[in-house]
Amino acid sequence: MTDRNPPRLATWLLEKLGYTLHNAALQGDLLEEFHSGRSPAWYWRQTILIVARRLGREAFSPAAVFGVGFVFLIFALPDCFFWWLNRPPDIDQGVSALVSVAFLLLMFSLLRSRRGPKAFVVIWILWVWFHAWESQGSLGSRLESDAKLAVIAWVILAFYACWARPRLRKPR
Amino acid sequence: MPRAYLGEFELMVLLAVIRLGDDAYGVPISREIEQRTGREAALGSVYAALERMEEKSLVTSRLGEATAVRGGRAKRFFRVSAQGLGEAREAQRVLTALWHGLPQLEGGPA
Repeated sequence: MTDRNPPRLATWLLEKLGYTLHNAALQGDLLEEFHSGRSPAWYWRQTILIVARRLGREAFSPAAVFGVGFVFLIFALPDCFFWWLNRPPDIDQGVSALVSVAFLLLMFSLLRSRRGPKAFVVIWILWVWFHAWESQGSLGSRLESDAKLAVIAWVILAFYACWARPRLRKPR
Repeated sequence: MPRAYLGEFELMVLLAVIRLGDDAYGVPISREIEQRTGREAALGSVYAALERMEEKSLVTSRLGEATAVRGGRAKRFFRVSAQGLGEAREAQRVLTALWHGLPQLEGGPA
């Protein structure tokens, strides 16, 4: 065994945002490899891969997808409602708003499937952004703000899930 | 329910676990794949594959001893299950059947 220590920040990241189920064993394996002569750059590369994989996994978990949809719904539905009250009815935008709500409901109904949420969230975000770009200054711009809020909530949820789950799940 | 095929990396990890027997934990599994294939196998990817296969009951795991060189963290040893052995045999059968009778792939690298 050598007296070298691995990068402290990388170790902290592994501890907080690392792999869920066998995190302790994985950290032990990384330390064993480091003490057998691997470089700090190797340790950092492994850490970044592990954290990125975990973040990606949490970002598309049903809880995160539901969270981002819920945040969007909270902000988007009042926007649609007040827009409908304050403006003369516009068939195109009205149909667009209804389609967006129907799309969200469809997304929620597919949450139980494993691959469904990924595809639908991506399509939904693209649709909302395209819609916002197409009709600037109207309902679209409000939906754009809502989508931005939802994306911020998505990132926060993914980080929170990484942070909280290792404490919630005990190793088998 | 249709049976899911093992991915290429999952199959490599499964074969490394079978090959290593009782000494199969993250470090030797990763080294075995690197030595046999010449490709780097990140420990995070190895654990991700092992966790997926554990969920499918293809491998089982148990905690081993903790050592100072590992910062006091225990090793997690993996062992292939009867179902995992069956999946490995099935993968071999399917790949051999696909390989069979392809003149382009006979006689070594082009």
